[in-house]
Amino acid sequence: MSVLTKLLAIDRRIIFLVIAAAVVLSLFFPMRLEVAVTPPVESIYKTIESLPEGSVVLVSNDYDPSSKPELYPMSVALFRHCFKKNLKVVAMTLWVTGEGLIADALNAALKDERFKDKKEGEDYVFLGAKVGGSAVIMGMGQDIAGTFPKDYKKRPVTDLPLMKNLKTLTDFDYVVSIAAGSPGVDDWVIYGSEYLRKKKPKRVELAAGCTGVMATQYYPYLDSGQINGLLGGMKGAAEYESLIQWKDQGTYQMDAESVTHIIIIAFVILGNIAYFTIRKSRGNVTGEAK
Amino acid sequence: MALVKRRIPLALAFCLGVVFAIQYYVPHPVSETVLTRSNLWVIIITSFSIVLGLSSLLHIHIGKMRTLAPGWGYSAVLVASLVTTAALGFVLGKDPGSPVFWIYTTMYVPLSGTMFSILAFFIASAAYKAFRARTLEATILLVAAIVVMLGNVPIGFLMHKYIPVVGNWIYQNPNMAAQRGILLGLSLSFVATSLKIIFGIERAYLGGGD
Repeated sequence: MSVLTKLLAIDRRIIFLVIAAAVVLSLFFPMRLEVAVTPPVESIYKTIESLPEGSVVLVSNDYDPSSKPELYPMSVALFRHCFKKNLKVVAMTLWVTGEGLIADALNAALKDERFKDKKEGEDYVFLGAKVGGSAVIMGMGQDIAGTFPKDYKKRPVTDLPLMKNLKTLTDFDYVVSIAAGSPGVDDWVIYGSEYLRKKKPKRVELAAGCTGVMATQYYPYLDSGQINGLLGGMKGAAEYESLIQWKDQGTYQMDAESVTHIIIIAFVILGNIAYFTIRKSRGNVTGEAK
Repeated sequence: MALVKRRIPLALAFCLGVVFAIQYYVPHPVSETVLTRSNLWVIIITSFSIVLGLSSLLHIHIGKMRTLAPGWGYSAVLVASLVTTAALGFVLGKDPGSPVFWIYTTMYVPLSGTMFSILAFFIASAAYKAFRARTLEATILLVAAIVVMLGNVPIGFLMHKYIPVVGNWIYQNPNMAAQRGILLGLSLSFVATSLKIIFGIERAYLGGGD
């Protein structure tokens, strides 16, 4: 019994050490496990697959470096898929602290030889960051050039060939919000949808990507059709990489996540076994005393 | 003073609240122009909030340094980093290849990621210490959590092909229903609070006492 009591009172630094060892070892000895694709992720993939060449996709990457492990692979995978399909990409962010990261994500996606002919200003544009949350989205719904007069590299947006025909949000063919909080998906659903549904004959669809912890709260939007797909956390990124057949950070990091989840489940089960065993033995002792 | 500190802000909140509530239902081009112009003002004012945050931060930490309060060394590092990064940014810009971009990619990005990653360790420790199946509800929660956690990783799929399916079902049914209820409640309270602000009943945003 004293072993179980000691187990329940274990120093948490030992738990930290076990988790750290599991993560480090799984990165050094990768398992490369296959990820099962779920319908919410497949829906985004199918939508982009169905877009004709030359369609314009707006990707609002609303996160900062603290959410990089989960959301950066999503951004890179989405950019790669769009470039593979010869779609045009307009990237932006509502988080000032994420601006450099999104520029980095675009560069990472463009590194491949297959995309060396992609020209900035013609095939893709990074509008940079703009503070204001929902005001920025509403502003884009009315006048994109007025809201983002200059792009990330301080060039007038009206001078960029890609932006010449993009006046408002209805000029896009698909919008994806990858967000770590607010402003983010909620703002796009509440304020952006107002403008996106004005496009005739068919409204512009909106999809979302978010951290694993936030994924649960966007299922009502998915169910009601306010978003047509959802990338949830690192697994969502790994699923998307598996769909576009381009495995990268999202897939490689899943090994560490798998091992960590198993260890946490093992700790929880062990804790419960120890707790109930001790409780039962204390109950027996009390009974004998009577 | 009460006129400037209380009556004018309350009157502004009331007028603008009513105007924009009506604006939403008026499809006239003048109404759209009002909204466009106001959005630009909101973006400008939000940018000024950065200045406010900055001055507050400097006030607190320079105060700590001046009085040599416990932890003043950390405050000195913070102020020095802030001033250096801002100065470099103003003088040399923030484009890729600039010192500020280097500071961002080599320091800010890894440090931010590290701070957020600490959560994983605390979650593991908290789950071990506190997650007990003491009641029926706690047991259902525990089982659902285990299934969802396994469903979210490839190992779950390896253990049984239906684990991700069941995990996804939990997300799309009981979780979705509960989240929808929370969302509805939040939205209604948001409407109620907004009306209280517009009509001057809720005055916390004015600061200070009544």
